[in-house]
Amino acid sequence: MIKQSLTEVKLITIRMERIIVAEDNKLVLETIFHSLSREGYEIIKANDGKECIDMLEKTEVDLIITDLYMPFINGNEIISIVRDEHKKKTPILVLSAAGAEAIVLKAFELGADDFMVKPFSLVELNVRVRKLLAARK
Amino acid sequence: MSRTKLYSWKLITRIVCVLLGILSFQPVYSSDSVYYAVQLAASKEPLDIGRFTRRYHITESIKEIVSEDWHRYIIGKFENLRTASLYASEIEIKTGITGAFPRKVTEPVPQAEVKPDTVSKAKVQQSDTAKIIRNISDSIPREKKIIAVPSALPRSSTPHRELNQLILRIIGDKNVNQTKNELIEYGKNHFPLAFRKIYNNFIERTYTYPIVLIFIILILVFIINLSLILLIIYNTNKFKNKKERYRIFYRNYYEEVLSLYLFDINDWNTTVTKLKRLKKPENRRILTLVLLIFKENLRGEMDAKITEIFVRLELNKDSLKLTKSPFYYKKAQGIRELTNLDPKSATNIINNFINDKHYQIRTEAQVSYVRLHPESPFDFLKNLLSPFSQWTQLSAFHIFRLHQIPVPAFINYIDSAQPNVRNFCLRMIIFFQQFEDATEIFKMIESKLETSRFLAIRAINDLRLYDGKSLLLKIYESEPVVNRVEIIKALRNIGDEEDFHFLESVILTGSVTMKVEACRSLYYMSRKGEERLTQISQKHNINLDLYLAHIKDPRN
Repeated sequence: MIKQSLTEVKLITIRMERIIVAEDNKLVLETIFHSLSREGYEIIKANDGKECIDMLEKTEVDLIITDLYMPFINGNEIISIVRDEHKKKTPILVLSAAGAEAIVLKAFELGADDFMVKPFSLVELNVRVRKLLAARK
Repeated sequence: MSRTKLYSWKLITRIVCVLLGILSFQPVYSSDSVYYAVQLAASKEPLDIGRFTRRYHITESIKEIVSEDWHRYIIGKFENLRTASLYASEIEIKTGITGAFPRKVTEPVPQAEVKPDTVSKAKVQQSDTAKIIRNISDSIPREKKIIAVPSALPRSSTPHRELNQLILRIIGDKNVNQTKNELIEYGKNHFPLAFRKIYNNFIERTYTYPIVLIFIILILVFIINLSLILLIIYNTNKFKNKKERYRIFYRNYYEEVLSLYLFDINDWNTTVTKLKRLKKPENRRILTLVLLIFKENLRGEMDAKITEIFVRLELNKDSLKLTKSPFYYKKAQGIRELTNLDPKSATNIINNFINDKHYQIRTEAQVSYVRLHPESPFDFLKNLLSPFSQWTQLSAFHIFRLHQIPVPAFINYIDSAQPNVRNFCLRMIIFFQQFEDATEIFKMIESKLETSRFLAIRAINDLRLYDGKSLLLKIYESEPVVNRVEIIKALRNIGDEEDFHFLESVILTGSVTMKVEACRSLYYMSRKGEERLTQISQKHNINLDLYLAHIKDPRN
């Protein structure tokens, strides 16, 4: 009896890896949500940068996936807030339709860990997410 | 109700009726009185009777008969034709008027003897003999000449006159008439005879319908117009918003349904059942748009599934129909949809549009070609009959880079008949550093086009084609300044000590830009070049310090 209850306690403490996705395009947001949920991650959806920052203040996450151009607070600002204000080392993956060298470099300079240009492959996204989470551990 | 109140009410009613144009009041005549008179004159336009009577020294009262657009002026009242005829002869002798003749006059006698307000209240009686007759008294001074109405007739015989009188009562008829006379007088003194008639006519008409009335009508028309415009804007907006809400609703709905299918949560049959209003063309457009958004954001394993949805729902047929549309934007839309969502169908039709007459269709087709033929994305350049515009070049280049299409050898298209294709190829050769076939680039140095030669010089410079140096120096003298500067710049990379003399001559004789570039080339070519600059400065006693400071500045 005692052994069984100990196993239960152990199971409860293992939490799913939590990813926040900030994306103003609802279709992309839903697609990423479906794709990553199937991989077994807990997904928090944020429709813009402001919502993402609010969520980050309330919840602990393992990975941030953010679009670059969003209303209120853009992707670069999210990176700056997380790195400079929250002082967190949470991995950040940036998604953007703009793949110009200067834009990518700026995101990396601010503290992004990875960059994907749209249109992107969901398989590739899953692989990158897995790699970033593994690196965090 | 008091008499004044009743009168005011009647007037208001009349104004409304006149404005609406639905009623016309005329006095009622019970019977006609017949007599004979002498007609002195007749005219389509009313005559200035004051002037007329003064000219012919007529002292008797003249009546005006207005009928069938004619103004007839008669004098006298006789029981028979004979006496009237005698009077006509007498008048001719007395006044000198020629052509006066006797005529029968049927003068309507108004009903009700009878106050004017009761007459104006009466209904209209249509009568052929009904004519408006006015007495014109010459005894009234010219400034105050008013048409004198027989006492038995009502003062206002037509609705517009009644309204005029009301307005005259408000603003004062004395003032209006005075202004009118002053204007006519002004016309007499200042305008030529030919123009005066038009001017007088205009003044007469303006004061027949006083300016206030015109203003009121204009204001009403303006208010009605404004209301109509506001109503149209309101309804258009309402309709557009409704349409937009409908689109947003179905877009979100279709996105949700299709997402579930794409992630294998729902099977095909469930998805089709859930896709409501599929037969409506508007909804089919929305569905195509949703698929395009999917395609824009996702690639890889989803590609085949998105195309499958597009084809299974027969949306490709709609897009094919669009490519046959007479409207260019629909054609372009159809090409874009097929390229993104059904590449196989697009490949079959795309060649038909590569040389289309319409610039935008052509552009769309050419960009699509790049996307659809990754193995030879620019092969269409070989068959291009129309210019390859800069916008198309940019779009094609963007698609080419975005989809990571393998780079072809652009030298293959450099002998195109289209000069802008050749220029595009040179730019691409420079960009992708394709120096395999330098001879083709050297050939471009002989091009008739300045831009092509400029690009060829730049290619020789950027690709470090040392064999091209002698060619550049050969053409230097015959080139325009821009190309000369480019040649000087090229010498920095492909030049050597042999070119010191040439660069020195440029420093001594060239323009400021040329001097700067020559100094830069010498300075950066080698250590010896730098020394040569000091020598030139000393030998020719010229100060090159500023030039050197400029070229050494990393910002330049």
